[in-house]
Amino acid sequence: MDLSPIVISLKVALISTVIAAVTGTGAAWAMHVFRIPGKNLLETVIGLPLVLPPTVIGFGLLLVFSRNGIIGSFLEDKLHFQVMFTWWAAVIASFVVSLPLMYRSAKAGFESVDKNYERAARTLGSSEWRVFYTVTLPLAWPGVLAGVFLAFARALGEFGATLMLAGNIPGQTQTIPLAIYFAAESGDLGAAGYLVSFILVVSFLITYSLNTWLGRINGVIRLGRGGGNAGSGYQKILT
Amino acid sequence: MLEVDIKKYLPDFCLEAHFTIGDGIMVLSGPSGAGKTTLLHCISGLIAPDWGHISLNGRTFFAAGQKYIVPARLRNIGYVFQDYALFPHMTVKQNAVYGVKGCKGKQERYKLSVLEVLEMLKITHLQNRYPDQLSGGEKQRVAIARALMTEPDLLLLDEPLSALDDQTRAQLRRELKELQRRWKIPFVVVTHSRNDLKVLADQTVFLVNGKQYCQVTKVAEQTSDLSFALGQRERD
Repeated sequence: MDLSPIVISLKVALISTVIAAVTGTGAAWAMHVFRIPGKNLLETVIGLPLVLPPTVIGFGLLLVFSRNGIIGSFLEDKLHFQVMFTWWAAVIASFVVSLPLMYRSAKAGFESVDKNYERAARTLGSSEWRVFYTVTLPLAWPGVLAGVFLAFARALGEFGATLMLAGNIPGQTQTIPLAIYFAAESGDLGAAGYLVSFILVVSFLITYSLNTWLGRINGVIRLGRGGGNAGSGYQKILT
Repeated sequence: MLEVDIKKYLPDFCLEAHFTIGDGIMVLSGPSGAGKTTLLHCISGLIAPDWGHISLNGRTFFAAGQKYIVPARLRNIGYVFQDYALFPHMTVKQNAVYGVKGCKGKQERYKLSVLEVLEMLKITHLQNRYPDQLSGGEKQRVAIARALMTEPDLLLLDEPLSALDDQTRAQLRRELKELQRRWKIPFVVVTHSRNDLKVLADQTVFLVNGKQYCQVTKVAEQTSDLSFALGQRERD
């Protein structure tokens, strides 16, 4: 049995989730605190991958990262690195599609925190950065963590943009969804079946643990402890 | 000495205020939606007025036409919020030291220890509890302790007594007055209650629809006057 799709998928999903978690949370915080010109436009651009067909995203990324694209040509000239058809291309595709989930979840989490907590921290001498890591983040972390889980699940399942940008090279860029498609296509239902069950189990575990865990947090909050409206970020994403 | 002369345009009306306070308690009164909380936000630096100037002890925080506005964190103004806004994920003690810890270079400046302040407000025994394990009166004491820990030059209190039962209210009102006499910094107290006004006010500003209706000053009461006023209230 070939385990390489599982290894590649986990590697790609983990790295893209870490990048999406940092940039998504950072962007959500900046939008939450500062007055940024063109805020609506920026949010629309970040959120666009949620509604666009993956092939359109793949095509757009192709234009940017190909040898003649803005970033592609830069990488090639300065670093002699060709990103297309490597597993880094799969990371880029996964990152772009999972960023909006991370961003929205974190932002909903930040908005669920009562403004007076942040105001109080400011009058007590805190810089915006200290307000963030001592007050906003500790009270909004259920929303942020829900975003991380969702981003990971989305990255793990990415197919269309990955195929266009990273191709389907077994052992190098062939992730689980690609392996399933091409195995089923060639009639190898056994190989497809075991990858399908792997994805099913992982997705089930992520969703199940998130639900029980958020249920417990909300229970604690009903008793009064803990802060803000935990889990609302996750709920806002799903409804 | 706090000097305020500002205008702030709000969706429904224009908030205008013009007053000066030295040592003592200024009561800010008026119907709901008159702009009292907005005025406190302007003084503390949480929002910027549209016109005018604000200064405290000769230090200008805001002046129309001047680009730089001193941000809230550098004004050294204590603010006790209407809903207390105690950080729910921190204990009473952690809440109290929040303004002292982590502000680099300031730590040596503070002369007061946490225990002194907690003792003064009679909440030492609560220091390891979380805010949700406190009664309304206790929360209020913690909020005041947290604001006083940073040794502010001015203390703003937004309806500090409104959520309390009558007995706690009367007691805390008396303690607020004593606290001000001990700290010798100006207090600005927002309240609807006539009793609060009668007992607390050295000076009163009424706001109606954002317009300052009048400013009343009376000579600072002596302790005997205070107990007289309290006695009268009990007879009422």
